[in-house]
Amino acid sequence: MNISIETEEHKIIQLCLEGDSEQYALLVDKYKAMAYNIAYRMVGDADIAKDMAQESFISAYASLERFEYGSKFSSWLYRIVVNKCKDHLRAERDTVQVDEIRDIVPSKERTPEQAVSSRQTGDVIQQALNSLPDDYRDVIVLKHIEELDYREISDILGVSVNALKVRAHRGREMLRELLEKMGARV
Amino acid sequence: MKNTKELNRDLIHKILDGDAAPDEQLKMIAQVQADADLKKEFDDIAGALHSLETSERMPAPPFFTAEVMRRLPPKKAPIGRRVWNFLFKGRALKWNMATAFAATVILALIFTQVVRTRNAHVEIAAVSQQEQVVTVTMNLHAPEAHHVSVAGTFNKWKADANVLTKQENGIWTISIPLKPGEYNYMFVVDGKAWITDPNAETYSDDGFGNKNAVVRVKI
Repeated sequence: MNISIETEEHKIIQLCLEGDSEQYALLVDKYKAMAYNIAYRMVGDADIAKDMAQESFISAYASLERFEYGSKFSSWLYRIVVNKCKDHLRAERDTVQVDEIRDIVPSKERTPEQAVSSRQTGDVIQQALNSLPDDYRDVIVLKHIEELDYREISDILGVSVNALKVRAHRGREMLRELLEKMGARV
Repeated sequence: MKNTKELNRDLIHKILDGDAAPDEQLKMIAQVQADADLKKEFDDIAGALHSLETSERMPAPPFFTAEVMRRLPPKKAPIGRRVWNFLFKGRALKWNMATAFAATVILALIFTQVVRTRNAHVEIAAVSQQEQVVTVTMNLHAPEAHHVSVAGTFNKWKADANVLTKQENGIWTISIPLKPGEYNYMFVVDGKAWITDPNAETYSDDGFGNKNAVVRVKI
């Protein structure tokens, strides 16, 4: 993102703060796909991802006064998306019964048809992502799906670049092991 | 101390993060070629990352933006800015048939009153010398119409006796000299539709389930 785009976005934010809320639609249109995709990869469910992404835009709007003009709106928004998704996952885990856990853990009992079908739709990757700890999942999603650089991910997650690299390293190792266990040839 | 396997693993991730120096990369290539297990590990991670990077990117669901905009909490601008916006900011008015009709009624009413007052002045000046007559102006907002006339008790309900003139603003108008009294009337649009004047002073039942407009002429 170059300076002029940031200035343009800051102008839109200023107009929103002055009561011209219609301007916010420009920011929603611009970042909705990425916000939705991050949420989808974090929670692994299309409907929940839509809720998370929409609520993130609404929360961002509600606290626009706190937006710092030296930063990027997108980084700020994605931080809200990731945090909302993590809150959701935490709350969901708290309510999941022990006997339901096997449904979210990769199963070896899948039929070959299911395995082929999953592989075709990319579900294997999503299942493996779902099994990663949240703090590994977010960095893997932002680094290897959204292809952001570590500096921006550091801004989004509020974690140092070095710490992120350690998490990415561990996350990739876990991903490799999970995929191997699931029998997926990726 | 890390063993060789762990050191190699660290190097794989260093390469994946783009942090490995050229000589480290060359070293890894040589080791991968010599070690089948290491090659598999490298290939598996690289394959997994390739799958992530090429995974399907879905567009946002339909109506995403509209739904967000509808759910936004109200945000009040500072008072100074609100006054400024009210005075100087361009605005788009949202119309529906009810507001358009109400606005038409109000505009036509004001217009009728202005013309009536002006005409009444003229006529009252003349009445003392001649017969007592008041010029009544009737208006109908019908921008789509091609022909509008007025029929009533003052012209024996003849649909072609008094034809209105269309103005640029879509309002059809006519001024008719009438003696004091009470008259029923209707507008006839394009020779077929009988329309009750929405701006009439009052209305009377026509005996067929419709209402006639009524004008009362007084000196």
